[in-house]
Amino acid sequence: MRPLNKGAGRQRVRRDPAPSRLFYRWQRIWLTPLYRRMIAFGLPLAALTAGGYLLWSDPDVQAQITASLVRARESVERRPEFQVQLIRLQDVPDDLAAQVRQAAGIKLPVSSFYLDLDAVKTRIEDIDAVRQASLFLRAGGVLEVVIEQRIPVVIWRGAKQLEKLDAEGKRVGYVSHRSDSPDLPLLAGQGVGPHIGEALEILEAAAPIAGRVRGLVRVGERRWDIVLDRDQRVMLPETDAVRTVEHVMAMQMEQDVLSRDISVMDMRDTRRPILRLSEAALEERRVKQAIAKDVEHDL
Amino acid sequence: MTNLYDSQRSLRHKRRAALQRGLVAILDIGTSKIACFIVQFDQSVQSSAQLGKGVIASHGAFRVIGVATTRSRGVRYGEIDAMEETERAVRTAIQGAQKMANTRVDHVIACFSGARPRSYGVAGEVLVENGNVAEQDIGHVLAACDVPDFGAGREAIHAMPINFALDHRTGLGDPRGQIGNKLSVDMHLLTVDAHVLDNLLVCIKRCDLELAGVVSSAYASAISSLVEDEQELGAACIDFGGGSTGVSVFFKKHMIFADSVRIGGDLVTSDISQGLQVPRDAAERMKTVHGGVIATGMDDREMIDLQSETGDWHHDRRKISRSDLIGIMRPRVEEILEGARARLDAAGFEFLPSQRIVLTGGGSQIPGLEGLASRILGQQVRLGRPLRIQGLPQAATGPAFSSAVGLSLYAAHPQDECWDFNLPNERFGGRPLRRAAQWFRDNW
Repeated sequence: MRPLNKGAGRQRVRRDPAPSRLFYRWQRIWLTPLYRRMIAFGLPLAALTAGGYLLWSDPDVQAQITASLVRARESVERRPEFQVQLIRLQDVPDDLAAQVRQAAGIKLPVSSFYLDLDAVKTRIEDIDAVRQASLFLRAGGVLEVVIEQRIPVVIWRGAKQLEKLDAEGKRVGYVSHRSDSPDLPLLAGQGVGPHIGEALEILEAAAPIAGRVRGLVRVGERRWDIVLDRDQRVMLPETDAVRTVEHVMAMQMEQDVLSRDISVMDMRDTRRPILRLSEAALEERRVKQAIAKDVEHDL
Repeated sequence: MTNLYDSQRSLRHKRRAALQRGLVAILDIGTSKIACFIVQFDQSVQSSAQLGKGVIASHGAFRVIGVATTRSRGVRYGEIDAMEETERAVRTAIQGAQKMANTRVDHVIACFSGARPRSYGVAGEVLVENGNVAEQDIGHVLAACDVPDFGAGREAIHAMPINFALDHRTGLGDPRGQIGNKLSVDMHLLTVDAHVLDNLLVCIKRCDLELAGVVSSAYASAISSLVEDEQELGAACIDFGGGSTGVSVFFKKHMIFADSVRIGGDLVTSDISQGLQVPRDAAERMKTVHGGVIATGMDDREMIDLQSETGDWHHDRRKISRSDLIGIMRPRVEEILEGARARLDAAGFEFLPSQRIVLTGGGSQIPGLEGLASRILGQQVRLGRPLRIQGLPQAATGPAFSSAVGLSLYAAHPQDECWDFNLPNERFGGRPLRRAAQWFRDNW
């Protein structure tokens, strides 16, 4: 039996297939290069950007990302390849080595990522006896510290203690007694530091009387006095101290000045050296003068 | 004429814009099929369009990049009959071609065969202003043509100057720069029913496209299927279409006459369908597979199964000989050819120096048509296939596509028409302000 509603209603015309107007328009838009690029690239890009922004703006996600970054970083830093196990010091006396280790303040083992070598270097260089320190991270977890020590050249009598100074005037260490290092010359007075080179030159120039030199005194932070035994003192000028010493040495050679009974040889004005007699000589001179007067009187 | 002049000029502007863009869709709206080509123009055509000299554009400078055909619906006698259906068909064709070309087109040049074209030969005469013929003199003489009263509801789609005469010298192709006193012109004016044009415009607009030109399909198919010396010496092109048969006469490379016979291949099909009591689809298939117009003894023995699905056993299993089929087809084809003969006679075709007749269009593929046509139309009959153009797939090179191919050629190399020249001021109303504005737009 045929369906009853076959002929009923609008008779359907069989139509040839044709794109609907909407699809036709959509395809024309799709074939337009600008729209096509916009739809193919612009929209996904915009969606990705928006999604990424939304995700990023969530504080939980941010914290998670940060934590995972930190974890990743730590897992790399904690690897045994990067651990420092040993500090190696070479050609350094034991007491200084102990000092350096303490100053470096490194608790072994430590990852090399956490090691601030510059800070360690400055801390080590803060030690008096260290002139310069070089730090190298060697393979096998070794931190090699190469230390250049300060070499003491003089002893300086400070306000409280005797100090050893190097050529730059930097303190190397303390000396409890002068006789601990008898080979070093003794300096005294304030403001010695920058003039140690000059002092050494003066001492070298004074080599002919080296046996008599007790030390040098910086006077008024501007000039040197050479202190000899028998309480003798040679006062040097502010400038040309070394030449003055040579001059004095020449006078000593010729006239044996310093062996005489004088207390001060004042060379502050180099054109006119002044000798000050010692008390005893002065007394004797007075006596002699008195005798001479008496004699004259007697005559 | 003023209104028409303006509308045709606006079509010209759109065509120029399309050429500059380099892409135009060619739409052949026929009764049996709608063909759409997407044509890409070379840089040379685009630059010449920019310079405003579409006239000198070269022939080979374009390439077909998209082709689609679809069965036509809603078209009768080459005219749009059901707008909705036609629009769907046009959409199908355009979309297919766009898909193949992988680009979108916005401008369409369309042709159609119906709308009762009528040719007028008009003449004008004018005195040359400055001794030698200038561009504006041509405008003057074209404006001076005494346009016949072709009736209300008719519109001109072609107005081609075909011959210029200067004083007593005639047959000038291009009188510009020549010296003389009196310039006269012969112009071929082709008018069609205005409502058909309007329907076409609306249909194209409903597909979101812009119409950049309308051409009579008789003209378009003649461009592609007549060879150059035939166009020069005089030839007629008969385009056997589905709904109507176009006739156009060429002489001296100009179309001098066009008309159409409102009978086509569809009528042959319906004759078969009625005569043999078979459905239309089966009749169409029989026509294309077994059809012919000249019967031989062999055809009496060749039996054809009639396919129909009525459910009646005896009715569905009939057989006819091919001669029977030819007997049905032949009178109708003869009628078409006689109609064409009458049109050619009316046009005075027998006075042309050469009377070559070229048959093209889908209907010209009927076997034996050549012989039949030579009996009716004269001895110099040949079957014409369209020119080969670049990029055209093999499936679209048959005579059924001659008007689409011709339209592509026309788009690349259009004929000068009346509206390509500036008509003098007084003819289309004194609008000095608009003229001044136009001048500024053109020059700045």
